[in-house]
Amino acid sequence: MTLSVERARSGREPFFVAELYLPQCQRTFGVQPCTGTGEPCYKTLASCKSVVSAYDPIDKAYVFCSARQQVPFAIEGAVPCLDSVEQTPARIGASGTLGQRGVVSITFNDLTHNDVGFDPHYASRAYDPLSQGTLFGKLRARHLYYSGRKLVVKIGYLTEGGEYLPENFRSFTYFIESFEGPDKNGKFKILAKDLLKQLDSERAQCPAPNVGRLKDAITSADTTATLYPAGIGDADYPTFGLMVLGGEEIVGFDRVGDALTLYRAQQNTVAIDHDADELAQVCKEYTSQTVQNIIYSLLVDFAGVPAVYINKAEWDAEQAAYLPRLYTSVLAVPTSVKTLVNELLEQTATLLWWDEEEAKLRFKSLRALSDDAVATLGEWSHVLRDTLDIKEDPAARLTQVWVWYGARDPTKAVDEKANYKLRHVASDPDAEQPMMYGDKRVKEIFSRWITAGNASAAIDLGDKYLARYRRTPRIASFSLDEKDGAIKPGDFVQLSSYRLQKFDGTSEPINMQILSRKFKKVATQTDYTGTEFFYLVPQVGPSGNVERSIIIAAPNDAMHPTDSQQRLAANLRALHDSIYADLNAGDVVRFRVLSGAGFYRSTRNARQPALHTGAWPAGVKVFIDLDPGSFVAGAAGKGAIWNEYGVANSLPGEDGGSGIWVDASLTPLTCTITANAPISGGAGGGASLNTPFNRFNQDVAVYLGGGGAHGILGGASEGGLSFDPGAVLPWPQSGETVARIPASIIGYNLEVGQTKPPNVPGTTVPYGSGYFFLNLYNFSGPAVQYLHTVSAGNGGIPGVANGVGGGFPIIQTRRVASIFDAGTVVQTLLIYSSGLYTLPIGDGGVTKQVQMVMRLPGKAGWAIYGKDFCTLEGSYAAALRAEHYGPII
Amino acid sequence: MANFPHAWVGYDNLVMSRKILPGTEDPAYPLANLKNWYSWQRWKPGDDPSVVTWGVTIDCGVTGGIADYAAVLSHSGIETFVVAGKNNLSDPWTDIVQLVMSANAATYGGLYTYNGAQIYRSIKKTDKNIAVRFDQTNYRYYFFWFKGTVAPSVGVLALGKALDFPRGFYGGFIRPAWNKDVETTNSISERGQFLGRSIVRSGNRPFVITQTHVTHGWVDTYWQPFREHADLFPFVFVWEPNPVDLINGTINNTDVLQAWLRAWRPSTLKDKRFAEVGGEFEGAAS
Repeated sequence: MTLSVERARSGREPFFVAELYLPQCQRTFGVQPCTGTGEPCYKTLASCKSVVSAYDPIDKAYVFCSARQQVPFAIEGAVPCLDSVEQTPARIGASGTLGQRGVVSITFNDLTHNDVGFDPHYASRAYDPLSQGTLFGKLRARHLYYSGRKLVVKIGYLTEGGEYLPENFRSFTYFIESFEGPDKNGKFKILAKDLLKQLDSERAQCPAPNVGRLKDAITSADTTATLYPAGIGDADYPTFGLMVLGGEEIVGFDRVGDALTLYRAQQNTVAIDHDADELAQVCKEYTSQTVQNIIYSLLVDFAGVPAVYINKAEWDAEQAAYLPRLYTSVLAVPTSVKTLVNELLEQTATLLWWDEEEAKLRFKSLRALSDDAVATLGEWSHVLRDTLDIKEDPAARLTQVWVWYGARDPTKAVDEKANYKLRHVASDPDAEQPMMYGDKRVKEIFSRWITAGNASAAIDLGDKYLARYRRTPRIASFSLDEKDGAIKPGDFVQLSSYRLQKFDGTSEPINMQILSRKFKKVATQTDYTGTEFFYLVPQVGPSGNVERSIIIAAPNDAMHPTDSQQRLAANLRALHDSIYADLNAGDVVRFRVLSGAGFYRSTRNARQPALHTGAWPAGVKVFIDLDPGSFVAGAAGKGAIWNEYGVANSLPGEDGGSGIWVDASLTPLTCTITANAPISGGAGGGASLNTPFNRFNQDVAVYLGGGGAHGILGGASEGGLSFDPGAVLPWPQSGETVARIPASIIGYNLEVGQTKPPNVPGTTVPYGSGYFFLNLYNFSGPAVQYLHTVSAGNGGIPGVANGVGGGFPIIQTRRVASIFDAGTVVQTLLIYSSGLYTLPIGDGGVTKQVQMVMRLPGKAGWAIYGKDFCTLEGSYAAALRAEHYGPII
Repeated sequence: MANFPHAWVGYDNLVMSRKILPGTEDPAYPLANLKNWYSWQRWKPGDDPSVVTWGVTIDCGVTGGIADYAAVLSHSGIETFVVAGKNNLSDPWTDIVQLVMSANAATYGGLYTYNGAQIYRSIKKTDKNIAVRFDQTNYRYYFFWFKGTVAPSVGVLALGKALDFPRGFYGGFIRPAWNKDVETTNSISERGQFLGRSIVRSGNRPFVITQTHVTHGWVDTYWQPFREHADLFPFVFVWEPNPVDLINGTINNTDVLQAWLRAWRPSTLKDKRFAEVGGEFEGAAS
């Protein structure tokens, strides 16, 4: 017989067993190390007569059972005094919280007892235990330290022959909260709660509170400090990590003894002065961790939950199947573990509850019903007569979910809105229309766990809540016979009744998730409460796999990271790995870049693209969707350099960087780019020029750096360097040494190649900024002068798509009456190669040949490097070139 | 040869009032567990697989102990049950009664004797109560010898004086085996279908014992000692309606009850010679 058969047997005989696990010392009384003398103890701490250090307890089970006419032999030794078992059921927090703790109350009939099995020294007592006191009166006196001890209630059925078979019983595990009695009616009661009661303890905090303080005051610039009281360092602090000083500034630290080396102003806090005696609190860091690992750590490491009560493999499997996202946070202030776990459950849309039957903490994601076994319950053969009650739960309905994420300063309160960089609003505007619900129901979620780079998590979270609660859910309560007693909290059921109807009056089953279970009559009938469960069909990619969605909601500069997420943002694989766990063949990863967001590289860096796909496992499909208004822009090229050591040491203008590098160099990549926004290679750097000019009737060489290419969004490009000999020199020769520009000559407007200010993403400028130089040639000659303005090449510009190469140098000649005259342009000369150029220097055809030496401008970068390895779609697809784009002559 | 035609009560228990000599015991189920009326608190012999017979010895002291009944309330593993007695430790045991029980009521392992004569045969069944009457004896030492293929377990071991009722119980009497108290809970679906039933076996319904027209002397001599015992402790109650089964003594597996007092009924004088006594009792029948 199995339990499922026995519980459905007509005439089943319920039977209860309670096992109370209390500590009992293993020592022998009076034998070292036990130093007890005289009347023996009861092998409990309360009765210990030895030094406490000798006390060595193990759990001993005290077994009680129902007061049946005969105690089954298989559990002989059990005291048949168990009177009743009552429950205040645990209630799962359907909105992603811990819910309510379950409480069980067990009442015993107190009785006289000979202490066999209760007092190890009963045989040597000077009194007759049977005639002195009562079982529970003595038990209470001997076991003062019962709080948190395990209580197992076994509920099941005896066989038809009255036998006790363990397989016919279910075990429910609780932890003792209190003893009551014996009371005036001879009853003794034990109240016990589920394991999550341990989270209620004020001691369960993360990070664990530290007591060390700063021994001396430090300034905002100091990088060393000392902890006190002496010795607290080794006793209470790790050797390195993050700590918060005075509750305001987070610092990195290395510790030797009580001595700290500090790395100031971490985690967006500001270095400030600290007084002596300010608290030094270690921070707890969780970096790119899966949610089940974070919760496990909080429970086991900080709340003292024994690991034996967690089926970690099951948690891991749940995560691998449904919860691939990773979460990051720095916890700077000791916070209740209960609060933190509640936050995680809410923000990852997961459930955690105590499965009293399995004696395990269960962990489950909110997900589509199709992935769970769903029991079907009907009014014909399941729901007991006159027990079904259905009502609406309007308070649960939502029309908007605001997810605040990207917290700046971990020392700030979690609900301080100004401390968040971003907020995602998931809304159902239709539901707010007067023709529908006509009101707004806003749920705000403040997430210290979702970083700014993990927008997809915030969006997904908002969507999940809205999906589940956009309609008013119904709450159903009903009773079932124990034949259906396998249904447990957290399970899904499909409930049908003639009272649940469609438009036409026919029955419409509803899906429900069981929130609580209470024994109406133990092992006979059970009351259930469930909530109607809506959920969207999961997002399925082309392969049939559920997509891993990654939303890019902000600009990401691959060269100027302000936090780890932005640094990773240049590499899509790294970005994925920072917020999602394991990848498998067949997985679909979709990156969506929202309007106003994008990828760029503000500084040239050895051909690195603004966006690198990274390497992906074979079989993974990667999609990059650029929404209109988003952008990808490669780095601007650096202007060409004229080095003071001559042409051989000078550099041409740099090519612009690629916009996207589709990297199939290591593994084959299946990548689709939908470009509904421009993808721009970086513009090329401008050409440089070496040209003479005349100062005080002497020919002087000057070296002009090329203009930097136009950068984008704070991505100022860098111009090439320029040099002036600062002294009279002949025409510059290759390899010739020249002096650096003296400060005094700056007045000649000789500057380094101009650095272009930031651009606005998605816009273009008509040309790249160049470098200008005023050449006063032959100034002491004729009255009418010809003034030559020589500019090195302009930097290129990012185009609507692609990019533009750097420009060539230009000499512009104006006829002026004085150097302050704007004059008239008489010649514009494009220098596109080195050589002799004839320039007018006076009326009447007076000219002079000038030697120009140039270093070439850079090309524009690839919009998409490796275009052949991807499929290109979208409105910009046709315009995107697959090659460098050289300078326009 | 004694005959015991009516219901009787075994109440005086030498096992509890006298000394149990040290003997084999499982530390978790010591001999001390036989010193009370808790059928759920059992004695089990020590773990010695080579032994197939186990026993308990009672020392009643130099004055000896009078007994005319023995009972085991709640047991397992007993296939042969022998009660023997002697007055000196060096003497051999004298069998008082020997029961050999059958597992199937068809085959028996040997003779069932009472002073050498065959006695009633019973079906061996775990948790059944056993009670047996015999001619009154008085020994200093009594020995209970349990034989079986597995170590036995004994809830209550009783030995002592029985109370015979001078009159039988017939009209209106609630026979224990017929009146086990079973509470049922039925589950009925919303649409009226039967879904299940749970039962709770909570012993026997209360029953009433009355003896009318018993002599004052009987009340003083037999009833009052029983009454004083029953004020404090349970007792063994045996009811046997079938005289065919009472040929040579009594062992009864269906109407042996561990009973205890619920309330006394007034003991009233009927006339100068006779009286009426009784009480309301409850208990657990096997």
